[in-house]
Amino acid sequence: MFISNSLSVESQLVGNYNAGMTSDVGNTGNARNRLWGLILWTLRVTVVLQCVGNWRWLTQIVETPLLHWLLNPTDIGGLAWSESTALAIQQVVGWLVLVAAGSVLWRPHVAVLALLVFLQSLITVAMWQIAEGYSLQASWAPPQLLTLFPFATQLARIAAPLGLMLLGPMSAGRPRGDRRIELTMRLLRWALAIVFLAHGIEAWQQNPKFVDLLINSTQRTFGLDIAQSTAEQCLTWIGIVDIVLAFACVSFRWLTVLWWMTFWAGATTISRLAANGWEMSWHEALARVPHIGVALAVVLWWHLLKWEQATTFAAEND
Amino acid sequence: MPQPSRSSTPLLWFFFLIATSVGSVQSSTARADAVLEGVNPAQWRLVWNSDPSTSATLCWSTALRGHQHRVHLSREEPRENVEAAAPAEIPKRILSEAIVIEAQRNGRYSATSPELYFHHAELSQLEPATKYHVVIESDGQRSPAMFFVTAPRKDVPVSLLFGADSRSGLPERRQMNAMLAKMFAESYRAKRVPILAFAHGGDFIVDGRKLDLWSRWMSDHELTVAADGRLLPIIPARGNHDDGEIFNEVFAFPPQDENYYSLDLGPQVRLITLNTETSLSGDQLTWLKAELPSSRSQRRWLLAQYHRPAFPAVKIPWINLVQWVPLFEEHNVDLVCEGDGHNIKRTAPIRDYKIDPSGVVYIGEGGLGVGQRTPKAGRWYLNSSQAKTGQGHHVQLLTFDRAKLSYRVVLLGGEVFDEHYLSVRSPLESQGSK
Repeated sequence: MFISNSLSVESQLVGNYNAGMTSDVGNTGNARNRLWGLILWTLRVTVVLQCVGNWRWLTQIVETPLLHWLLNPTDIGGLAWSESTALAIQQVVGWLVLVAAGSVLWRPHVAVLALLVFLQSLITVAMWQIAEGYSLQASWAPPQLLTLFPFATQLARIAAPLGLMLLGPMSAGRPRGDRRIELTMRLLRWALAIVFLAHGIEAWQQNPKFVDLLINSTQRTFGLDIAQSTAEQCLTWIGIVDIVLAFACVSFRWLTVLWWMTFWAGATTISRLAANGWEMSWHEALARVPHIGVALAVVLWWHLLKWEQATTFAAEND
Repeated sequence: MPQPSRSSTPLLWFFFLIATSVGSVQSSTARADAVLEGVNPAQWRLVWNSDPSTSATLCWSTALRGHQHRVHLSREEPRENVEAAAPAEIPKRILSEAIVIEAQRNGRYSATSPELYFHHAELSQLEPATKYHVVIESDGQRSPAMFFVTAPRKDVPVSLLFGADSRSGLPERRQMNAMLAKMFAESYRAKRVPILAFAHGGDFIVDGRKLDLWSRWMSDHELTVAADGRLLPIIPARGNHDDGEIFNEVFAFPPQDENYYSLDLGPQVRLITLNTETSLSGDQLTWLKAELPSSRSQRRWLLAQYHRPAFPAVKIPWINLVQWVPLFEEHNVDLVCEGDGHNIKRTAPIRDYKIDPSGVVYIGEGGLGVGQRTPKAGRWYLNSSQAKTGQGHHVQLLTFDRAKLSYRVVLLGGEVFDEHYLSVRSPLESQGSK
């Protein structure tokens, strides 16, 4: 089934879903509400954890692409602000992010979520401007194009608060219009696919950080010493699988694919803690929670659609 | 490690010499870079990445591919005084006496633009501590006559320059290069310890995939050539901004090389260059585990250089803190040179995450042009009378003799910001026992 087919089915099912939401009563309706609520809470918790990770990064670790962008001279893409100003601004932003986390947990507001989308986008722009993050290698492509790579790797982190904002988190029992749900879920799905594609390419190109992540997490978790060549071979296959998953998740509606992506996002997030220790990397792990949360939200949505489809089919047969 | 008592006299003496030699750097106009057009040789650099007593790689660039690229190499006989000839006569004399070495590796730099070609002539089977005159030639176009001196095999005092982070602050970068050239030439005056080479701890440019940035760096690097044509050999380490294939083309490494290696600056000084931008836990760690004990047991002085700091003055530690630092301590490395932080740093001696007189001292952090950050002097390894931090464009001058390692931080303009000495470790300690 190609994308267009899958999306048209999805669109039809969204219609059914909303129809069910407004007319259904009793256990079926409650179950749907609970599942819908679970999707929203998945995204809410994701954004909250992401905020806590960013808070530590911005206020405790301090060295971020945002700070370097503010500090760097203009001739290399920076804004050439003074160190004291840049540090002060980053501290303010970091603490605002923590306040935003509390807000999202208690009562998410569109303005707060929009602010988080803006901030996460700003960090990505900073990475782009100062060439931070993985350096994609392709001598055939103009370097200016390659510097856009952070937009691919960071997309899930932007998509998580954006998706929550679009879904209207405070109307858990009455989701927004069909079109908005469809577009939001499509957005999350594509964001996830692009992140998997980007990280798949990094793994395939044997990003040295991934090599060390594999060697160190294997050593610390299982006590196994693996050679660099073995780690690189593993990464090649991991990269290929990631790329295949990226294409599969936007081409087919296979729950197994999404569940695997959720599991793999979780495993790679936890591997940071295993490889580098809790103290050094808990914020990094939290900042990557959107990879898990977005995948989980989409897979739950697909479960909901599948269930709807089965319910509708059963009702028509009755 | 016991430290000799400090005296202000050498400091003043050194300051005077440096100030008189580089005082005019900032006000004078830097020499024009070689014109990069056609097959005119330009952007020359002498790279040391194997045994510098017998080999060196002379690299240059041309704007067009050209056909024949070669180096005229002439060994100066001990009693000969080439400089005594009229300056205009030197190239002729070199050319008449030289052997011709074809560039073994030529090609286009790995970038879509600008169009630029590299040429590497590996000069091997050289004599130690010997002066070699060179003229670069590409399709009949010749460079000025230059010369270099190979590393000694005898146990004599030697000096090394260390610096890092030249990726931004381009006017300051050029001024620093001019200062390096002056210091380099000055060190060959009577009774001074000669500077053999310049170890660059990485972050040459801001994005290693952009050839226009590399091209500008290579042109600026010409300013490190002393006024008398003395080439300052460079020992490069890769920084986090130096990613991509071009680095290996600029510094004559094989295409897939991982850029960790070691070399001797004389029989008693070993410099290990590590790469913080490739796997730290894989093959490099295995290599380091073998390299350190063999180097330590045979040399009086053992140093390491790399880019991202394990004991940073501004940023957070890189994972070399976990992977490499225990090995440095186990094998009693004397001094570790780091970059990336954009400030001036000398830590207290460190062992087992504590200040310990027998520990390892970490210096550097980078100031070859890049804007300076405020060091976090309150960190435990910096908040000590045995440590020092600061800001300013700078280079570290390391001098090794039989008894001590002298460390000086020279600021742009010639002022000595920091001075420190390390005594030679006892033989027992040097062999790895704590």
